[in-house]
Order: sequence, then structure tokens, then C-alpha cells
Amino acid sequence: MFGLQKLDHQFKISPIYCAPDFPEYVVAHRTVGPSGVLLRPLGRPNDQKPYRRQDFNPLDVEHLFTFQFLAPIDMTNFKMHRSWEKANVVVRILSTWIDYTELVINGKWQLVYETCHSRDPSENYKECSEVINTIRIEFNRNFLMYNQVGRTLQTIPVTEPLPEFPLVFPLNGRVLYDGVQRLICNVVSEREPEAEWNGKNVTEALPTEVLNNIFGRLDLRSLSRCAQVNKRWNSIASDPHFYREVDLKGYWDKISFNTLEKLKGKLQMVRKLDMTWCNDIILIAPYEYFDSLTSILEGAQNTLTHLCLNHTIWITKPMMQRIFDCPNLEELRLRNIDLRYIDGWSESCKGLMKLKTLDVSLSMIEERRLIEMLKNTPNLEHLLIDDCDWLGNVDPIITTVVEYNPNLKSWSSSFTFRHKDNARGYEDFGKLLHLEYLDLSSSEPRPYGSSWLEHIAMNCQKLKRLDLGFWKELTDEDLLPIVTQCKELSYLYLPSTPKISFSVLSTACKNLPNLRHICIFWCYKITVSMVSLLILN
Amino acid sequence: MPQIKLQSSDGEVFPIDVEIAKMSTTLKTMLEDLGMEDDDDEIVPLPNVNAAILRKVLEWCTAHRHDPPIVDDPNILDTRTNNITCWDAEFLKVDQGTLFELILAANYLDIRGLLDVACKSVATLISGKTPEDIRKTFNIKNDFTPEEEEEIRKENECCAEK
Repeated sequence: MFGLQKLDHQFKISPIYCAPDFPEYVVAHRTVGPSGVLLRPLGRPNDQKPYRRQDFNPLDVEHLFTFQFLAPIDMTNFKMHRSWEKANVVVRILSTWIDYTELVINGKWQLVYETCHSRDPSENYKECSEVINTIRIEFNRNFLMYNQVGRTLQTIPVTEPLPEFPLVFPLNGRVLYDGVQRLICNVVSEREPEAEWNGKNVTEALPTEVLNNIFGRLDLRSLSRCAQVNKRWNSIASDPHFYREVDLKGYWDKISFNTLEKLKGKLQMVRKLDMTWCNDIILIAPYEYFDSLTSILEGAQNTLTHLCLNHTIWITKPMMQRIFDCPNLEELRLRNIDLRYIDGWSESCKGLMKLKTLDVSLSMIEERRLIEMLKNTPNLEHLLIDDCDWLGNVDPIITTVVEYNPNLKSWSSSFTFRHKDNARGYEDFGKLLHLEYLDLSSSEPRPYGSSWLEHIAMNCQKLKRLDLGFWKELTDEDLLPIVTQCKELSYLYLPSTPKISFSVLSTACKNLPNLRHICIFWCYKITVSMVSLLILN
Repeated sequence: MPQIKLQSSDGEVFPIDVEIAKMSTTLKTMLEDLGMEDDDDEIVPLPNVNAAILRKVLEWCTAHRHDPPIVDDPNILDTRTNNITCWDAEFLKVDQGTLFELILAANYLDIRGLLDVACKSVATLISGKTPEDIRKTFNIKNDFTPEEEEEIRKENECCAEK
């Protein structure tokens, strides 16, 4: 985890000492391509474009965070502590900026600094004609990848402790968006091994409980390697206790029936299992593969809390039944999967009472199956159904949510209900009193109706983020109740809403104390000078 | 401030505050069980800890005496390696022998915070290394037969690469 701190006209990023986490619900940055189309993941991992944090190509970026400043940042005095430059970490700082008509990134990242080029960042910056207001920092310890694309990396062990503020940026404006995504970064500090201690095996003296303590801090890769060291280490490192949070997405190209069978014994107590992309080898032995996966789920039935099977393309009926039998499941991500032939809940299933996050974006799921799922997940808080072409009408879904999932905090359905007639159900969003995040971009109903925004403004007092991008008919009057009444609103995303004018924007800035981020990309009524005025005030 | 005296295995005596001694669960239990009073001039022998290591341990305890007690909360997983504070990182810049002796001492005296941070430090030493590198680093002998080794390698190869 990283934190931001503003001190003495400087902007500092420092590690917050906090345990890394399974990628939980993140309201991530949307990257918008130059043609105005949201880049969406399609096809093989190597063709992927970043969409949400979870969907980054596993070979590309391990950890990433993005943050933005209202005013441009002066990169000439940018400093990076040398321990970071030396660490087995690649820090790439990318930036985008534009002109003042866009308050938000346009998705075209410009590389301004990369640690493995060992160049002075300021030099590089001078060559860069763009003004920087957004910085993206990527961490990648995957040397293999860098070698593949013809870059070589030196790995020099860090000999000094991590400084308090490894990155320092001079700060010229107020921070517009504190979009620090959750970031996990293990900066490895290594010391040269000492040849002494009489050449004795120093670990032999350690009692098993101490080795347990050490192994409990290792990741999957290190554990797999420790298991190969000697017999004692093997028996300790193979204990399922250490495999509670298993992220296999980095090994998507290695996962097959055979490897799953070998992992099976270790995954008996797994709580968080991420198998994004793990589908490539299934064509060799699909039935055995799915049987194996099903039995893993069966074994971990009572421990599993987070399960992510994004982009695994398909899933079998028994597997789905197993998933529905996991009573402690809190997060279920089934993105980009064909869910059409999955029969619903078995008679015996009591429902996923603890499920908070359900993500079926990009998946082929029919309305009745989604409704059935919603009915069986009474405590759902986050529903992500972006780009689900198989969902026909929004009304029955919202009706179900209002009735069965009253605690819903976020709803995201961009691109799902576009060009669908008849979205009267949008009014029912006003009945979701806990709603904090509403993303309906590119889901403008035809014929256009807007009175539902008043219902939201009146009832959803907790609304923090509203995304109505690409609503061609959205007018100032429609938006006015929102910007005057939703005091908690901090993020307003209105790209390509050509009827919006500057007045509503300035009302929003006056009325909403927490407003941190407005996107007015392709809002042609708003000019550069207007925005400059707004920034100055 | 009441004090007690600790004696290392090589005979050196360390007078320390009871408050600091009680950071060690072992000493705390012992003091409570024996009902030792402040004015007792008794010396507590620590046959498993030598003077150099005891000095380090006491240095750590003194620096961390205001730390809140460690609570095992399953929701907060303090299991990784990235949260070593600067002070601790500096403190643990010692040779491997000392590091492992510190772990043994912390384990024996049951000083949870020190044990955790030292284990984290060892975990960072392990991570990123191949099995062969690990053996070299810690002078561990490979006791597998070639057949066993091949089998174990196959079993773990899926996640050991990259």
C-alpha cells in the first residue's frame, strides 16, 4: 500500500505499512481510447487493453497505481530514492496530458521515465512536450518479460533501508483526484549472505514454529521453491495453511489438469483464489481439468471467501453448483465467461448469504439467471454487469435488486443496456438508499427519460460517484438535482455529453464540497478558457 | 522504575527495567509466577542467550517499549514482508548468524514483535531465490535422492518459475 502526503509544497508517496490484499472491489480508472470507445478486453491476454485493474495482462504490470493532479506537475525536480532504482523493481512513470478541455486522462500514456533506462528523469521530461498532470507508476519484477521485449535489467541488491518517501514530486496545484489504487509492492531488501556462522546450516536450529512464521510470509512462487530445498522444508512448505491466498493468474500459462492435480492437496484451506486467465491449456483435457477444479472447490467449500475466475471462458454445471455451495463466499468474479448453459441453484442450496461482490461483466448471462442469482445473494453490495449483451431489459433486474438486495452500494452497467428501449426502471435506483457508485455510461435509454435523476438526488444521499458518459441527450436541467443535492458526490464522469454546459459544472463545483474529479471529455459546449477560470477559482 | 537483572549465557549481567523485561512473555510469566519483588537482588539466568545477542534484544525492546501489543486478528494479515519499518530494517542489518540467533532468542524469550520482524527479514532473504540459491544462502544440504528431487521438482514446477 502506498500513501500520499502533501508536505511543504511537495507531494510525497510513501509506503503505508499495511498487509497486501486480494484485489477487492476497486472503482478503477477507466481508460478511454482516442476514438471515444472504451477499450475493452477481448481475445488473448497479449491483446488485452487495461480496463479495470484486475484485467491487466498478467505478464505486463504487476502493480500499478495512478493519481492525478489538477495542475500540471513540475517534473524537473522529481526525485526518486536510489534504493528504488536499484531494487528489483521497475518503476515506470507514465503521463498523459492534453489541454484544459480534458480534466481527465485520455488514455494515451507517454513514457517519461523508466528506471531500467537509468536516465535522469528530468532530462527525459524536457524532451516530452506534454504537460504532466497524471502519473502512473508501474511495478514489474518480471524480468522474463522485459528480456522478451529486448530490454535487459540489472538486479542490484538494495543495501539501504527503504526511505520514508521513495518518490517526491513538487506540488504545484491542489490534488484533484486521490486515485491511489491499492498497490502491493514488495521492495526486496537483500543483504549479501555471510559466509560465516561456520558454514553451518543456520536454519537447522530453528524450531518448526519459527519456520512456519517465515513461510507464512512467502508468496506462492517462493513457497514452491522452498518445498524443493530439502526434506524438512518440503514437509513444512507443503502445508495447506500457507496456501490461503492463492493468486494463480500469473501462472495462467502453466495451469493444466496435471498442475491442478498437484496443487489440489495444498488448496484445501484456500480462502482467496484467483484463477484469472487460467484457461489456456484446458483444451487438452477439458473434462478432467474441470473435474479437478470442481474437487478443489469442494475441498475448500467452507473456507473460500473470494473466488475469481475471470476470462476462463467457460465453466461447468457441477463447478457452478460447487460455487453456490460455498457458504462463506464474499466475492465472486465471473467476468468474460459463458454462463448461458449453467443451470441455476440446486434445491439444497441455501444461497450465498455473505456474498458482497458479484461481477459478471462481459459474460454471457441471461436475465433470468442473473435475477435468480440476485435473489439468492441478499447481502450483495457491489454488482458489476458491464457489457453484458445478453441482458435484455434493465427493469426486472432493478426491481429484483430493490426487493432482494437493499444494501447495494454500487451498480455498474456501462454498455449493457445501450439502445434498449424502455428503461423506466432507472427510477428505482432512488429506492437503493445505500447507493454510492452508479455507472450507467453508454447505457442511455431510448426514448430518453431523465426524471429518475431527481429520484436519485432526493434519496441516494450517499452517492459518491456517478458515471453518465456518452449520454447524448443529458441536459443541464437533468443534472441539476444531482449537483445540488448529492453532497457526498466526489466523482462525476460525463464524457461525451454534448448538451452539458459550463453553468452546471460551476454549480457542481460550488455546491459539492467533496467533488474531486469531473470528466468533461468531448463536452463541446465547454471551452478551455471556462475550465481555466474554474481552476483558478 | 523497578529493575531486574538478566544474566547472559556467558555471564554478563544486564540490569533492565521490569517494564522492558515484561515485553518477553517468558520473563513476564516467570516474574508473575515467582512473584519477584522489585527489591529482589536475584539474577535471572538466560542460558540460551549470549551477551551480544541479549544486548541486541534489549536494544530492540527499549526502542519498541511503547508498541501496542500484537493482536491476532484474522482480518489483518500481517503475513507479508513489505512492512518492516526503517528502524527495524536498520536494526536487522546484521550478519546471518546474528539474525538467526536473534530469532532463536526472540522465540525463547517469546518476544512476538521481534520474532515477527526478524522472520520477515528472513522471508525477504528467501523470496526470489531458486532452491539452489536458498541452499547456498543458508548452507542447507540437499537430502533428496535424485529421483525424489525430480519428483518434487515436477510437483512444484508450476508455480516455481518466473
